[in-house]
Amino acid sequence: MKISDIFSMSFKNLMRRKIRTLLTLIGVLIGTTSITVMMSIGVGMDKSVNEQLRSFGSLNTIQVYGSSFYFYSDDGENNEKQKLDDDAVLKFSQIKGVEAVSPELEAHLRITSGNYEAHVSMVGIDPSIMELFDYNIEKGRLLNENDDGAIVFGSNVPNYFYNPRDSGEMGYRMFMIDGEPPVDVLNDNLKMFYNSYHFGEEVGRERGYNVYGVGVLRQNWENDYRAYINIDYLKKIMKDNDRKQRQQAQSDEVFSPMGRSSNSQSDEYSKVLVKAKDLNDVERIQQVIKDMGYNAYSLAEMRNETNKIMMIIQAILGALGAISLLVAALGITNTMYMSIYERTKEIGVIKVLGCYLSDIRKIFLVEAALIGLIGGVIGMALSYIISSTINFAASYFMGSMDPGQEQIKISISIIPIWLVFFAIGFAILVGVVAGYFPSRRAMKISALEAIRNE
Amino acid sequence: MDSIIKITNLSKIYRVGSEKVVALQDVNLELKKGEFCCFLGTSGSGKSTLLNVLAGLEKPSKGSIKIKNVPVEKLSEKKLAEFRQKNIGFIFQSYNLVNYLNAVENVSLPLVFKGASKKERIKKSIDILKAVGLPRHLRHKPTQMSGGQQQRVGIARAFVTNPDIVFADEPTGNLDSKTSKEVLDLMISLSKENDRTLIMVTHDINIAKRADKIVYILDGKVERVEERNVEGTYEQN
Repeated sequence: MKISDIFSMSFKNLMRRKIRTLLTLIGVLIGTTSITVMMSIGVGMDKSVNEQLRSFGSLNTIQVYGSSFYFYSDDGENNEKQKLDDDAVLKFSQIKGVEAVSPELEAHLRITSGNYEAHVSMVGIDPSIMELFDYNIEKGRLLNENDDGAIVFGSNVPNYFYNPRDSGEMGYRMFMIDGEPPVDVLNDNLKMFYNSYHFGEEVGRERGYNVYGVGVLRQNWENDYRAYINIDYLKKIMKDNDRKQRQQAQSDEVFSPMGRSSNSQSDEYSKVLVKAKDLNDVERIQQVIKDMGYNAYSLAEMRNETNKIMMIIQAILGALGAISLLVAALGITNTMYMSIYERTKEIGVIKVLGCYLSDIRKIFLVEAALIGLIGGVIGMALSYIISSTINFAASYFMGSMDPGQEQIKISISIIPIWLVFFAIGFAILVGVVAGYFPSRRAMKISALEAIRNE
Repeated sequence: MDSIIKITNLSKIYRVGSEKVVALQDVNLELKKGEFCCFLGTSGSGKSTLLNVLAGLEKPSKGSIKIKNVPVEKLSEKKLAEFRQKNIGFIFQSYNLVNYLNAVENVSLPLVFKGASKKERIKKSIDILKAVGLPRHLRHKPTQMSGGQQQRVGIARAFVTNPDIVFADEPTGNLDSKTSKEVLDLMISLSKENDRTLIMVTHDINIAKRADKIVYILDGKVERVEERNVEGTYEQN
């Protein structure tokens, strides 16, 4: 038999008993709809969690810190403190799957503009890889190579400026995000001082460095409270400061352990960012770095934890849907058995007329699969309606809870295209499986049934 | 004339619980191509069982059946289906048309199983429906036709594949005598036209009298075989 004939025969059989077919279809429809809606909620939750994590920073990035304690390797030997220096940066960049490595140097500096000043956590960074590490600019531009003295500010930093003569204001400024900061960091003249606190009383005599703001970053949890400057420029300033400190110490003939220790650390970075090419490599790379004896953190690690929880939630929701589809499968099996029972004589006749057993089986399998397919397709349409209703309701109720934001769109339920194909495919599969035993029964019906007269 | 069916030492024994029921016992028979043969016997004589075994609907317990030199009892289900498609047509007592299909669709069923194209199927079916005298009932469903008309559709379905052998199981059993005669005439003319072998089971001696050969069956055995001679009378051989 031709496939088209098998399909048309199966379809005719289904159409013969419209009500029974319809009732069986409704079972499948409810099953696929509940699976799809349940899973869409799982997908939606997964996505919103991932989005939230992403707002904390790039998921591909691993933050590496030098070990603050002595590192004990497994064999008990080689107990040495791992230094976060240029060698380490080179080693990291050679790990398979690493896209870029960005060493960072951090210093606490003071920036002044007119009467205002701010204490800023200044990060020295390689300007060429800023873009790669997802520093997004809000105003102005990112750092260029060779622009010494150019600063990119974290979105919150301009609010740090305060007038030291208005005592007590500093504490408030940081929280007054709405008000305009008193200093326009992109246009006003800025001066930067290397501001070690034990030097405080000598500030007035320091000359400071001329710096200028070139950009402000987009709001981001990780870098809101930092400012960025060319790392080579920062190194130079730190060396200058070291030298001054030593001169000071010598001239005052005061033993300064701080000065010495900062000198010995000047070739070490405070932090190194490692970016993985592929999100899936992050964990492996992180482990390699940890094995080297460094402290390494990533959001991916956190993501994996939440992923596990999400998978469990999705599995539970999916299982709930699957149960209803299982019931639908029993419905299909029942319908098929009844239909075969009624058509015993007809099956005998077509056997006598020379129909292959395999074709008889196909006719019934296709019939069951068609129930699955039609139920699946209608179920998808229904799922979309339910899904958008859920999202509409969520946006309506949850949106109005937050008066600051007007009608934000909340997607609790997301039906990705793979879920559509998966659900329809699964419905067809359920149909075929449910139709398997009935179709075997049909095959085994004797041709003699055709002769029997009731 | 060439032999087309050869039955040797054929037995069919049913087991009903612990008892054995002998339906056919040691049947030997040879049928010729183009012959119209009747199996005549009372109900329970085993004539229908003989037909079923010949058509491959049942396996014999013993003995062999060769149709066109093919041992039918040894064929697999698949080969048997193929064999039926090519060589055998079947006419039922209660017509056994598929109720939700119209006349043309019913007649084309054997062609559908053969995998013929739709165009070919419809052409052949319409041709043969015209030949059996139903040119105006092509799109009628079985329920819209009389018994005689339904059996004509059944006959058309049996002959549409040009089979060498057509089996008919009490084809006039549900029809009145006038219609019976018409249907019988139709079957005979369709098989004689193309030199087809027609094998019919009946309990009606008047119908059997139309055959070239009458096989009397009693208690599962062939009692005697009569062949019609040129004068139209039968003689035992």
